[in-house]
Amino acid sequence: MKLSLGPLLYYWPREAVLAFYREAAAWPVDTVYLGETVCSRRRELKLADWLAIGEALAAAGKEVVLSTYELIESDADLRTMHAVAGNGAFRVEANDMAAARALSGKGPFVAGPFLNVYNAGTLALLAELGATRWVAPVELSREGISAVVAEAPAGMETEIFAYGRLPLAVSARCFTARYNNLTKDHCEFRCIEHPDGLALDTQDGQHFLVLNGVQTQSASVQSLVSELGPARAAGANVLRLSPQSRRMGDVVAVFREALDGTLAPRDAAARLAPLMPADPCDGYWHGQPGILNLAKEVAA
Amino acid sequence: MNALPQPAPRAMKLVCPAGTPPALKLAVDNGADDVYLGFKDETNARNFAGLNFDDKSIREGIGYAHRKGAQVLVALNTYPQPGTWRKWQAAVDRAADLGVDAVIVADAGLLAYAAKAHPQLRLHLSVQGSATSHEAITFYHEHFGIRRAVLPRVLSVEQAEKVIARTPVEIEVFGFGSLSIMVEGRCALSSYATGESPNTHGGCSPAKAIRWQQSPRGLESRLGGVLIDRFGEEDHPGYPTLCRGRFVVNGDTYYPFEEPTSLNTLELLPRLQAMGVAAIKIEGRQRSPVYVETVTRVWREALDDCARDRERFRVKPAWQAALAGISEGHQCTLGAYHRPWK
Amino acid sequence: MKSSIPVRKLPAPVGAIGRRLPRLPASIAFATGLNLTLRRKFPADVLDRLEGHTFVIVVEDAGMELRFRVRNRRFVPVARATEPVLRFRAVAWDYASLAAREADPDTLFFNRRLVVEGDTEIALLVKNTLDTIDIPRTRGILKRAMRVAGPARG
Repeated sequence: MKLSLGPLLYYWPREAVLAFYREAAAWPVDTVYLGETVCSRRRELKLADWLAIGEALAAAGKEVVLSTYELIESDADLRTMHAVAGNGAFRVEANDMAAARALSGKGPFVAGPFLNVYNAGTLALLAELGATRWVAPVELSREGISAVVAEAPAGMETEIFAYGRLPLAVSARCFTARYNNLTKDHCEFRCIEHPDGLALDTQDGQHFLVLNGVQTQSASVQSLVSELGPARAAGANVLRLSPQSRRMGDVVAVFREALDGTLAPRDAAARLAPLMPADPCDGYWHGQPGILNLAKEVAA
Repeated sequence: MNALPQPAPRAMKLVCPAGTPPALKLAVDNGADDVYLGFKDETNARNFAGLNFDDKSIREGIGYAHRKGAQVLVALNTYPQPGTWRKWQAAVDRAADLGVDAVIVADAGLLAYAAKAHPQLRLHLSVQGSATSHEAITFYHEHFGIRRAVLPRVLSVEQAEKVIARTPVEIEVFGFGSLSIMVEGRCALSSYATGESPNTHGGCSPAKAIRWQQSPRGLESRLGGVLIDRFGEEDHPGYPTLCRGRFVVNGDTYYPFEEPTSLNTLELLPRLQAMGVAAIKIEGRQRSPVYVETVTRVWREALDDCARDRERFRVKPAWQAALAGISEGHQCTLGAYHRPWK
Repeated sequence: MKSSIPVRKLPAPVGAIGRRLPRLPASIAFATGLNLTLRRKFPADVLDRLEGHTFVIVVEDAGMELRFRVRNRRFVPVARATEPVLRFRAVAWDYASLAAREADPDTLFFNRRLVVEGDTEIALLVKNTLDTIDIPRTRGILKRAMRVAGPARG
């Protein structure tokens, strides 16, 4: 199995982003997904900047993939999507059907997690258009992924969301702006103040979600580090690790060692725990509510 | 609005929900052009106990609707889950055999099957398909020949207008009902807490995961054990969906996503008609026959008024009063069509 | 207007009398009525889902509490206080409005005019099943009776 670094879902200052990817060049990941996928108002980096980062990573031996927006609303969004799709240098991950259409018949592309591939019929259709890898929706269980893989077209790679806060929903409305009593068009880019999302708790104190602008994520961090054997058996070829602001390189290292077999699953989970911004969860993988953490229950 | 004289656009169709046969009859009797319904299983996004239609009631419903000049659409608007593909395929076959006027589908694979196996069957792209641009809609048109697409509720009027101007596909927009703040087909909040979501099981916030509990701090609603809201004696409790919950961010307790409100676009009707909207959808297959009767009656009258003379169209207070009386949360908003938050 | 049915309560003395009356006879009469009007219209699979469960209908202004259980696909009155799967609370007028299909159950619920305690899934099953049933004759009688009873006193 390969390791990938998913697209950066948060809004970080330009310098922080550049530093993050300078370090990532040395991390033991095979693939790096780049680009803004959440909000078209975020402009710390332009497409040219992402391409420059991509070139540096490619020179360091990484496979580079550019990701498109998960929600396209305006003409400007469409133009950006087309610029990404036609970048000419790197493979592209399509996150909506407009992007899939723009990429179809133009060589291999990645069917992103927001394309809603829940079955082999849809996957076969995307394969005809040129998809050579699909990223399973976060809701899909190990059993579900395995069933899709069993009927997947030959040569199709399967990528799963193995680490990070789960992107659960997207809206046209910005919840970080709403929290700050600001309108979306005058949001003051306040999501830049929350490098791992803005925490949202229930009234009885449960850490439940985080707000990331127009995107809503789980507060808990999904981790499948104890499930690498089952993931391989289910047919996963790529494990996606979703960027966090601190110690991401250490997270990658734990997964790498666990994959190479130099770290036992239980030890890997123990090493990962202090690196995580919140408690782990893995319910979706087991066909349960995503918020549950079944690894803990097994260990206990 | 455009000052140039424009060709009179066609009257917009009124698309009404039916969760039960009495609701279907009331929708038809009160002037619905299309009535949409679902089978009794997870092939549709209102898969609730006791709701929806078996073959016999669909046949009778189609007969009743056709006699009165209305059409029946079947929603197959969830995503076929791995290993159960045949069930959805069979549902498409069943709808075609029953002679429904169209099926409303979200999944690209299922659309491909329907287009191939039943070339005569009229296909509508469900809102759950998350097609938010004319290019996404064109994708479904090129590949499966969809005739109508339902626009996600996140688009503004200006955005919807641009989509309509650039696609040959009929566009249906939501006019009234429960308002989803998230992009349809792109929300897994429900399954995060309960294991079931619209995409996977055909329902948001499944009833079996809901608990109402009286506590010293008020009436509490929980979903999958997660506290969604607390209500005092004077509060009006709503159905506990996550995006309508009251939560705490940095010590502030408020509705971080939205107040529990309903969508109501009556006042936009002239604009929607002028820009070429083909159909207006009413949400609420899970609601009672009284709801369907009231909404259909009001919207029929409003659409007729608007079609007669768009310039002079005025929203009647009686309509708003009738609709306010059956709205969840008792407020009616224009949703994303109008964006005070933008 | 149909959608905003005003609150209409029975006079207080009615409730005072109702609270002193024995509960069982009313429950017997109610269960018998259900068997006559609704039982045949309830799908067998729904009755099976309700099998063994106890339901309580509290008519607040009448001081009345109706208890029944589903047994062998029939509605039977219940005398003793067993924990119900569902308890409904509303005034007589609102129950009549619901039965006559003059009021929307969700609206009454959101306004706390209809209080439902217990298992939400069974509550929705019951609501949806009742919505499926057509009993135009009974509804007609009810609607006429409500019109005779006259406008609300607020």
